[in-house]
Amino acid sequence: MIEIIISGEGNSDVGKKDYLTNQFIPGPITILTDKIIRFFDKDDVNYQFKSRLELKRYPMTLKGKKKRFKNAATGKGHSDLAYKLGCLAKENKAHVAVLMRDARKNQFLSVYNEIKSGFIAATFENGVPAVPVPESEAWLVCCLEPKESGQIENCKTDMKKLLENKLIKRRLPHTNDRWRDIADNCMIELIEAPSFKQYKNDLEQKMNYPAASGRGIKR
Amino acid sequence: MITKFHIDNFKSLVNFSMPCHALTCLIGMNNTGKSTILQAIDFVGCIASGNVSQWLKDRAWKIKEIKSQFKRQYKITFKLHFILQDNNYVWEGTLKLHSLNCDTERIVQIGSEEDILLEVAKGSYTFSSGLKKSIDFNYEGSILASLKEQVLNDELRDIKKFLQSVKTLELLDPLLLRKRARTTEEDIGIEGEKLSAFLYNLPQKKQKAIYQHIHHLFEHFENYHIKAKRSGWKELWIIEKVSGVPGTFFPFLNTEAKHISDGFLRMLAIFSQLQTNYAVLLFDEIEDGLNHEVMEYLLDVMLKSPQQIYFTTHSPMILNFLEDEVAQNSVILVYKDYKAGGQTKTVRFFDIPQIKDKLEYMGPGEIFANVNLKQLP
Repeated sequence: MIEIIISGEGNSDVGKKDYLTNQFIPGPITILTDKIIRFFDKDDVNYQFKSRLELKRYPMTLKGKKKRFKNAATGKGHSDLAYKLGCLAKENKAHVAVLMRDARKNQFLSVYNEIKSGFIAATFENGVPAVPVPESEAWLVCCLEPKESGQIENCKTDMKKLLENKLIKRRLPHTNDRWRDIADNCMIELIEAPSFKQYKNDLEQKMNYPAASGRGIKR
Repeated sequence: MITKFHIDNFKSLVNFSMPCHALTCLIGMNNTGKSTILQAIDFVGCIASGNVSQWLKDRAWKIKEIKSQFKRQYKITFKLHFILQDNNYVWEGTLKLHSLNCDTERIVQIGSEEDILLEVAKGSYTFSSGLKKSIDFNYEGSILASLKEQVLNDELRDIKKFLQSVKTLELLDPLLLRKRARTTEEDIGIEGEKLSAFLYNLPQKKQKAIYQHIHHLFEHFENYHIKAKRSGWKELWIIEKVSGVPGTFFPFLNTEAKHISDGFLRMLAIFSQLQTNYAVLLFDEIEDGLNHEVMEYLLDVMLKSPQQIYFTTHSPMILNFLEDEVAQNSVILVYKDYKAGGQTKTVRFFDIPQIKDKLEYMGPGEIFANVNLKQLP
């Protein structure tokens, strides 16, 4: 069983926890992640979801003598969250940790490197940044229009509106369930968006890398 | 420096042993025995000084109250391993609680062979020279406290001085720190009540060191001043440098100790004790009233101090200001073993397997803050 610990920005990307049943309801990014993992012939996967609030609560970080390398280029605290997710991944014996953050107006590399530095600070080697450019909806647009995916990151249109328009054209509802369906039916091997390809490559590399917990992942 | 402390039959400490370091930091849940450990070390220091009854009187305790409830025997045994001038020694003894003196006692130098420097047994004491004398006088605590300096050799004199130089600040009371004092003793008193007189009597060099520490933390701190009254009372005043006060050119603000904050006075008391000749200092809940910037600096000063320092704390911040290497040795978790009748036990915090691994990526205080002590031993 491959344990993946995953955290994102909100309900519409990685997913959410149903607090009545305590069940994780995966969002489109988790579904895409699962598709990538299955693409590499790994099918026994379990996802542990950590909300942003959970990451803020634990572990508590304090000022002190231990100076962790901190990359705070964007000032959004991505490295802190990655550090906390990395700590949780170690403690929960997860094989891979995924932190999803939209690149938005920031350069992809700033967010990507910030998240990486957080995982390094937690000494967790199997941390993977998922950084859609400019935001997670862009990857769903790619799923709908794989042929246009190579140019999506240069598109100036708001991705939420673009996705909505594409769904309206197809006479499909603009709902979270629909987004999950789009992710579920995505032909990931056709997507050319550089940020998605980077995520796919990173995941592949980490899935084949012996886990920090020492358990390793059987190929 | 004390390297290992053992005591039996003192409050919740039964057959209790603890490793000691230049800095020993005791952590643990409330009511596990952290302060009891400081009291026990101080108590053994008082045995060396021969002040057992005064020690009890200062605390308004009775002897039967410090005896453990777990044992019937009316004696407290102790063993102290210590290093003095690069030599290893052991001082061990048994304090009879009826007579408040040690009926058996040994000071041994541990080298390639054991050299018994002083032994008390069966009503007589023997020196390493073989000189044996019967005890035909009353004494309290250790016989060392009652033997005249001239009968002791240099080595025993140094040992006596070391064992008697334990100072506890577990009872520091900000209310009493503010008090005027009359005494000329070189001690701030058990509750800090003689702080002003103590500061007054400090040599200039030591006063300057205290000033430098506080000025480093508070740039507007100009100095402290002790006003000596004709009647002998000493009053503590704090002087701060100010500017921009309308209508005045006087750039200083003078405040009498009774209007100074608890934390500032505690800090002054602590820095003053770091200037003393006490070999061992004991602080209970050291973080009380201190801001984290002060804590960090204070810890750095303590780590450079030639004195051996023990403190209890509930503050993760304090621990986070320790380097990993220091924390690994110095942080001791105190807990009560309820399966063994509720006796106080200790373990090095960072020797606990699930704790040790976290030091790789978390600070010592962060681990302390993120762990549930109730789930540890």
